[in-house]
Amino acid sequence: MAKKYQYCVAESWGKGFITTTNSIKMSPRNFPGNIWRIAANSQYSNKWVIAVNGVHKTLAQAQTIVTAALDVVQDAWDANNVDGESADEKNFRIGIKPADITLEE
Amino acid sequence: MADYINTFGQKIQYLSSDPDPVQEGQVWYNSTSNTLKYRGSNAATAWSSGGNLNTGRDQTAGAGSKGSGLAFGGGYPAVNNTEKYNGSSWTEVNNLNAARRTMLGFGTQTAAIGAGGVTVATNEIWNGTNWTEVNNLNTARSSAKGVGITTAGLAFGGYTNTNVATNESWNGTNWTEIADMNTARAALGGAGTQGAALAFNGGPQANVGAGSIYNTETWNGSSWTEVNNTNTASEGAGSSGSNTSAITFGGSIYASSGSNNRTEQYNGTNWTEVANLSTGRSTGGSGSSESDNKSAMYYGGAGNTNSTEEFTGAGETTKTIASS
Repeated sequence: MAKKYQYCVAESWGKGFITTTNSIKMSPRNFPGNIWRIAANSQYSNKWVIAVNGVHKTLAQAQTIVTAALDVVQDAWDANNVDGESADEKNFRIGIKPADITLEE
Repeated sequence: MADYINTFGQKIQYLSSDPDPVQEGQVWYNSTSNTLKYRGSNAATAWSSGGNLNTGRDQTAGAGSKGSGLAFGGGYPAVNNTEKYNGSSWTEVNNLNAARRTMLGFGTQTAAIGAGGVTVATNEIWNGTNWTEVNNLNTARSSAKGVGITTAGLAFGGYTNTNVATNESWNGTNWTEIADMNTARAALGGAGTQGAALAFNGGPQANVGAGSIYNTETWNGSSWTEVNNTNTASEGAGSSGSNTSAITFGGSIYASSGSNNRTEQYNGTNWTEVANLSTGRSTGGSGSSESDNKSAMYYGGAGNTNSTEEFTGAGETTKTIASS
C-alpha cells in the first residue's frame, strides 16, 4: 500500500515556517521532538523539507524521536507533584498527562 | 504619502460598530474597538505558522485579533507577562498586576479585560499601555469564558470547586449576575458580544474520564438557548467569532486522553469540521475580537509551548488592518 505520509525533523522559526499554501498542499502535523508529518510522494513536500532545512526520517526513526521526546515530557509530568494533591487536582493544575503517540505510515 | 481620499475618491467611514450589511472591498474605522478594518476575500481554509511567543505558556488568556493580538498571564506556574502581536512577531509589554492562569480575557489589543483565574475574582483592565485593577467578578472562578469589549462584556461558565453555569455582565464599571447557562461547564469556548454570545464545548475540568461537552448555547442578551452541538466534545479549546459565525480549535478530549488538532466552524445553525491545526494542543490563547469564523489565531498551550498558528477561512471576511 502506498505511503500516505513522510516524516522530517525541522525546527519552526515561527512566521513563514508553514504558509497557508504549505498547509493546503501538505496537511502538516507537528509531533514532539520537532517531528513533522507531511504528505508522501509529493515534490511539493520534498521542496518544503529542503526550504526549512529539514532532515528526512523514516517512520521508525521519527517514532524513536517522538517517543524519546514524549518520555521526557511524561517523566516531568510524573515528577510534578504537590503534597496532598489529588489526581484530579493535578490534572486541573498542569493538564492531563501527555498520551503516547503512534505515528502512521 | 498618498491620502486614502485622493487615491480612492472617498473618505474612510468612521463608525461606532461594523457595518451590516458589509461589501467586499469596504474599508471603515470602528471607533468602539479603535480598529481600522476592511472586507476581503480568501480562496481556501488553512492554518499557517505565526511568530513564536517570547514566553511560552499554558492556560493563557487572550484578546484582540489575528493581526493585532494580546496574550496575558498563563502558567503553571502562573506568570504576569503580557505580549502583543503585530501579525508577525510578539513584543513584551507591561505586565499584569496579578500573575494568574486560566483567567478569561476579551477586548482588543488596546482595550482589554483580564478577569478571574485560579481561583480569584480579580479583574484588570488594559488601556494599551498598562493594566489597572478594577472591580472584581462577583464569583471568583477559573476557566470561564469572556466576550465583548471593555465597556460591555460577558463572563460565563467556569470552575470554583465545581463547574458553574454562572453568567455575569460587565458595564465598564461593575459585574452583575444575570441568567445562567443551561449547562454548567469550565474551560469552554465562546464567541460574540455582550448581547449576542455563543457558548460551546467545555468540560468537567479536572474529572478525567467524565467526558467533555458537545453542547452549544446561544445568548440573546437575556437568556441562553440550546442549539446544535459541535461534532467533537472537547475542553480547553481556542475560540472566536460571533454567535452566528464562530470557530473552535484544538482542546483536550479526556475520553482519549490527548490533545487534538481539529477545527470546526459554526454558521449559525451547524458545526462543520475544516482544516486542522498543525500542532494539536489545548488551553492556548485566542483572540476575542474577531468578527467571524474566517479569521483566528491560537498561541501557547499545553506544555508551555510558544507556538502560534493563524487561521484563514475561505470566502469573504472582515480583517483588521490596524489598532490604535
